[in-house]
Amino acid sequence: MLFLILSAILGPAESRRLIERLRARDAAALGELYDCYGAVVYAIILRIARDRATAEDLTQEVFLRVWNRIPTFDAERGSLSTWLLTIARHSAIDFLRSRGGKQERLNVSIDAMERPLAGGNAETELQTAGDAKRVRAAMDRLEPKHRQLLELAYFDGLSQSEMAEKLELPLGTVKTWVRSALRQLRENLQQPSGVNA
Amino acid sequence: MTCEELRDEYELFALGLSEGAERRELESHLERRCPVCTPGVAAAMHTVAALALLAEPQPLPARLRKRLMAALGVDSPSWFSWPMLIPAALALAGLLLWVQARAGWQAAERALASSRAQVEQQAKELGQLRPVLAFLNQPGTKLVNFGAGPTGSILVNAREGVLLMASNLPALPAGRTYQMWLIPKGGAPQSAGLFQAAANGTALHARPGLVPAETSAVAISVEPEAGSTAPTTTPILVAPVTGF
Ligand SMILES: [Zn+2]
Repeated sequence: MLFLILSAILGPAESRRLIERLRARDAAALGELYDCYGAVVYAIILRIARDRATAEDLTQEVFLRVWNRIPTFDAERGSLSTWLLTIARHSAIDFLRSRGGKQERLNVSIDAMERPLAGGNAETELQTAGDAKRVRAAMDRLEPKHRQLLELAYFDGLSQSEMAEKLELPLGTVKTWVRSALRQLRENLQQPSGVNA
Repeated sequence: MTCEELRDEYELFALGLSEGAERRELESHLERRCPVCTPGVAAAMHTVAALALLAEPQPLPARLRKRLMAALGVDSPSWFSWPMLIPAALALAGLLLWVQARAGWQAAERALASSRAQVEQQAKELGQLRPVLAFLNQPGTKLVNFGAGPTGSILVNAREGVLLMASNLPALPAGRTYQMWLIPKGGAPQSAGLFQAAANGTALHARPGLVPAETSAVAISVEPEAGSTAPTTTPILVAPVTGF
């Protein structure tokens, strides 16, 4: 039932208009963005942070961050949902790592990562319901050990050495598996989905 | 390294797993807007972002939307006024500086955002922050952070004015003061008032009123006690401001 609510469709034209309104400081536009992606943002933060109160705070923070940074977002050059979900994941993992007393952050320059990039089909907005099926199917086709690594990286923010330590595997093995997992995922996602609607 | 050799790095980079020479190499391709790697990484980020959809859908607490809209000041834009702002900004500056000292700007930004998040919940404790947050959320307010030497942030709103919050300001000899300037593109700096730093090197300075549209930077210089009509020393800070 929830998924029906989540499945708001944000086509390219709607997305562009929404971005224009956000840039014009139309607060209602942020409300609409929230209506489309709030549940996904909340779900991913909750999965990472595993605490409801924290997930609520971080969800709000993520949308305010989008609101404050929208002037740097180039509507011609990226997908708002990719940007939003990237920020959501970084906020939650940052929280996790700072709570774990780890000074070091994600092994990425957050600013660089949160800068929207041009190209590919990347300007297509994620359609929460349809894409969820597609992603789940693509993940299901991975070898379980490969899938596990991607989940540890994505949802726990573990580095390759941390995964090696946690799973008691040689670092070289983790690196090889991660690479083939990502290559396989890419291919699975590019294939026309074998999932029946 | 060639773009071809970096191909497998795109998703690793998007996941935050890229490291070492490959990561530096890819970053340099991105910096020079490599026509192969830039769209490649964008597509990889799209793929990786889609992994978010694996998280079990969760019922979204209804109050969260209300909180968000309240934090934007949508429901009550009228709290904002400069006289209210000063004590409030001092409190916020204190909060920011404390967080900043502990964990850097990202955390400061989070503290700022989460104080906004708490505005509705803890209106009593944070009530005094509301005017600053309202200012921050005024349409067109631009927040510029600066670091290295003095650190802090500048809030610029074309109709309302400029607010400076700074820390790490050097102590000044007797008879000297800090002076803030608005620097128009290609024009002479306009004085934006005098201020002193506290003993701990923090300062808060407001310059209410319209901000000329051609303003391209906010600067701080050290001047004689009575102030100057134009900067007489090299500014200790020049922060570019655009898009306010
Ligand atoms: Zn390249």
